[in-house]
Amino acid sequence: MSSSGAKMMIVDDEPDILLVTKMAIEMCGFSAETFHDPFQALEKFKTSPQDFSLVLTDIRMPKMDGIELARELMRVRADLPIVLMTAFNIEGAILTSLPMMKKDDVVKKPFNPSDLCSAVRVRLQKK
Amino acid sequence: MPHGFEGVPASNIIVPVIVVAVAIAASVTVYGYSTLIAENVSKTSSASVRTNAQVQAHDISRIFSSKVNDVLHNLQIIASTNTVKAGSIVSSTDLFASAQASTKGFTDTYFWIDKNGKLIWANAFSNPDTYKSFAGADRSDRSYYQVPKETNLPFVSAVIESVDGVPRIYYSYPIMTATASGGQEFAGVVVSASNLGNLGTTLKGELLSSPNSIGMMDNNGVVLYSDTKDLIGKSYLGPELQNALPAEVKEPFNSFLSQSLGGKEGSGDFTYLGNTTTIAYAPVSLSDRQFAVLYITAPHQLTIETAALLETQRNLSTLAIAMIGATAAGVSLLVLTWNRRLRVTVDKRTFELKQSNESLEDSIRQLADANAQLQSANEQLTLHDKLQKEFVNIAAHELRTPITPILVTMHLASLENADNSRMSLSREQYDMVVRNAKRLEKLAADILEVTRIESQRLELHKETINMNEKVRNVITDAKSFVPADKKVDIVFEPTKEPLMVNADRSKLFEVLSNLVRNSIRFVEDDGRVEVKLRKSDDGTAAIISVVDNGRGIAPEIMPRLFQKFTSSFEMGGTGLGLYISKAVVEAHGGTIWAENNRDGRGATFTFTLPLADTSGAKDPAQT
Repeated sequence: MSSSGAKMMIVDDEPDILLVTKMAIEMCGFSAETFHDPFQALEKFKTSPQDFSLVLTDIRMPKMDGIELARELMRVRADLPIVLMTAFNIEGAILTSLPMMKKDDVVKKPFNPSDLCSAVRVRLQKK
Repeated sequence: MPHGFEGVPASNIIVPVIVVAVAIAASVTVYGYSTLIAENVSKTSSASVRTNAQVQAHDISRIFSSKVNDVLHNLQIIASTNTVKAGSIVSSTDLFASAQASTKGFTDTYFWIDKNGKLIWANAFSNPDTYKSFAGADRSDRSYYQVPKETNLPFVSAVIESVDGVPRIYYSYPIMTATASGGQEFAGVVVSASNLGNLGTTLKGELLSSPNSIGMMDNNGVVLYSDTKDLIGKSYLGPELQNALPAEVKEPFNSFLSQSLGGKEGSGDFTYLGNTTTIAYAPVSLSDRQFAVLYITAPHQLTIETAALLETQRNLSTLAIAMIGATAAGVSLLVLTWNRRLRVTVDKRTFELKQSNESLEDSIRQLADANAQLQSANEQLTLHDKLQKEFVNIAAHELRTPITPILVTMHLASLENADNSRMSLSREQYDMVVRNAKRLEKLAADILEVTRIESQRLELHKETINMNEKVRNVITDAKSFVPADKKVDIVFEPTKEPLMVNADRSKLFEVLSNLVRNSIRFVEDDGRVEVKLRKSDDGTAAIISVVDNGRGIAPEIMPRLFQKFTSSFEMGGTGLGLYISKAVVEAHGGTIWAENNRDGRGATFTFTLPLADTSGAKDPAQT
């Protein structure tokens, strides 16, 4: 399980999910910084956009949802790989909202950590 | 509802009234007109009768005069004949015969009296017996000899009863011969006479037969002719007749007679025993002799009959018109009655129709209402369906959310312990699994509760509860809910008097607990949550407030605060707590609301519960 040393940004309003996602990502060999508040995450990203190889964000969050956050992040860095997580069966709607995203860029909760790793890797390789 | 069952409009009553009035007016008019006609006809008829009577009287006068003049003319011829003048009887007998022949029927005889008053010839003398009896008879005392002898003028006598007892009128003409001195000398008279019976027959023959009477009298009032034969020859002015006559007949009759004898012509009416009779009178003047002709009409039959006829006609007309009026009135009343019945029927039908129409309209309205309700229900169903789908979607999401940490943790544990048959979990992993499993359990319970609420199957098992105790219980429970890394001060000041409510114990616990836990979630570290309890001003309800000094409620959230899944992700709950709390409070007859505190820090959730009726109840504080 090689690690590229790439650092992931994980955003989710659910602390437990944030925690287990971080654990899963670290198991894959990446490091991760977690944010339960999308605004804080956006602030952090703006200050150091190149620190993060990929952003993994939940979609349904208060204040700002994952799609909005994704748009804002890409505005800062257009080539930023983003993987979306959701407990909803709404990939179609997500893909419509974010035309540059592919079906593989959405991970459904609950997820198998191995699947999450694959998705993240695929997304990183695409870059 | 007004409809014309009672009464008929006045205009309908006017119709027969007018008809009857017109009929009465017509009757009166016709009656009056008939009376007028009757009077006119009567007058006309009277006038006609009178005129006719005068004409008749005049005719009789004229006929009589004519006949007498014929006789006088014959006498004149005889008297002026030379043979007569010469006193030659033998040569003159044919003259007398032809004269008698020419006035036969009117005259009895022609005869000759010499200058000394001796009867020297008569037609009857052709009979030798008569000649023997009468030849040379002295007639010098007779007026028909004396008057012409005196006057040398023709003479007409009054009625004279002859020697044979028959009343006669005598006509005489003087025979005048020339004297040597060239003068005239009385030489006797030629005479003729009318038997009054013959005279009457002649007159009657000249007149049209009629019911009217004719009377003739001479200047002495001796009746020459009468339809009543007994009167002929009698003196009308004599005491016998005058005494027999009633005054109302005698007076006008005598007046007419004296007029006539006075040479006047005219007419007049007299009424006897209710019958009007017209008498026309005319004079006959022959050689100074006055006669009176009276034409006496029968009682005015024509007038009477006409009047009677007109009376009958008038009465019949009046009756007919009265009957027409009555019939018209009857028909009008009948029509009116029918009309009224018809109106009542029509009104009834109209009323029924209106009613049925109204009920139809009602039905249509009800149908429309039902349709609207159906549509509304359908819309609500559609909305409900949509909300239900949304609820299911969100519920699914909410269920997956705690499952994710559990599953991911288990997967990770599995990967970490890939080589071991026994799997070990760190304390952190274990806590996470349990925590999320509990959350799942709570979520499942809440979803079931929501389902119960929405299908109206929420059951309350009410009992009297001491609120002070209940709040203490909730606070004790909630303290264990405060995260270890968070310091929250939970404050409660119990009321001095016990505040008893009638509520479902476990559900009240849920509501209060939910509000307190929410506040605990909301406050920052070192936060403060206070539960306040008081009685409402009107003393009917308990007011329970949970006040925190957290970050308050976002204005955009406020309207949806008590809706499902409004705030779950923000507050870490299931998102159903407030929704369920509201339903439970309202099921108890209370209300619930939330507001941000005026000092700008935190929010207050308040709900009310009706106070229990503690009169006569056992002390609930001991429960």
